[in-house]
Amino acid sequence: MEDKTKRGLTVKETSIDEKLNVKADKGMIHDMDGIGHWVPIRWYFSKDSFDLSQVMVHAQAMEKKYTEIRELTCPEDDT
Amino acid sequence: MNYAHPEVLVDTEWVSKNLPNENRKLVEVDYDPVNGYQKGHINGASLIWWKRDINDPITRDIISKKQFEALMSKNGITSDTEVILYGDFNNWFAAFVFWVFKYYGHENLKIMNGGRKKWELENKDYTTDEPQMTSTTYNAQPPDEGLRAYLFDVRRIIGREDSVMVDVRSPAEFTGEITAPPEYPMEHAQRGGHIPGANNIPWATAVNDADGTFKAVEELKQNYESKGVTPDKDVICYCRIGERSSHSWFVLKYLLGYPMVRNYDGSWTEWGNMIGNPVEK
Repeated sequence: MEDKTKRGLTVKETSIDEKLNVKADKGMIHDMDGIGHWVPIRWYFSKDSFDLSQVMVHAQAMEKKYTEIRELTCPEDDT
Repeated sequence: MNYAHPEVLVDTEWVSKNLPNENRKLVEVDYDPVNGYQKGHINGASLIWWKRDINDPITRDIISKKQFEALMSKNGITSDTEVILYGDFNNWFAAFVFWVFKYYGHENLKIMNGGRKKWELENKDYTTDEPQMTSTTYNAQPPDEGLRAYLFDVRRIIGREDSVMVDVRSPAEFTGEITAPPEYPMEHAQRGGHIPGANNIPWATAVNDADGTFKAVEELKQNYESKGVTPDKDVICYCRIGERSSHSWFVLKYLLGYPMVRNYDGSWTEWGNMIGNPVEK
């Protein structure tokens, strides 16, 4: 599974993403204050431990997060 | 041949043998102090956090004279103190702070060649202990505007033969392929490219890749003169937010001794966002 919003970000390490407990490529993004934060770029779900439906749950959660951010910054005008 | 002003550089070995004292202060300048100073720093070094300490918290500008005096006081620095700067990101932000110190007239100022990168390559010790500083009274000089270029200065020199602009960003930024790497989502601009007529001489061409130290004077001369950046010209350096360009400003002004070099700290995040500014790709 890949977070497409992190495309182009340099992979600095591959280690376990503790939130999902899955091996992940990670990079660093610097915030407004210059502080670097580790962020996962892509996750390697092993077929032995996960089936597609379990991965889909995580993919949909990621999609929901970005939909909420979009809604916060550029809300669609329903009127 | 030596650098024009060798007195502005010290090496890591010198720093390890000359600890800070009442008259000598060691200051780490970080872009990212959480992953730098707070994880470990040279014994006795205080911290200047580029974003929080050197920039005005509201307006996009460097700190005022009064804010600079307060920062010096907090760091135990007087106008006579010998100050040695070093930092993360290849000393980019240490060079920016060097430029700000000079802007406010601090005389006795040096950079530790190679910064954190070289110190770490040499496996020299760090501590997490923070020094206790006694506040001082610091009287800064009026700003030396001869060191700083503003947007109107840049506009004025476009096309002039007695002036030259040095764009120290990567070739991908220079050509407009990108406006900022993905690691810095806060530093993009509305347009990609470069200021018309600027020369692309990336900051990294002035340092030895292995340890981040400055190249020898003959190599530096060749690097700049071959692209028409000569001491007889009015030189303006810029990058994206003004920190890499202060690194090249330092090289041209203090290592090569060019008489007229200014840092355009507005840089591409100002130029590439302004309506109507000419852009070349």
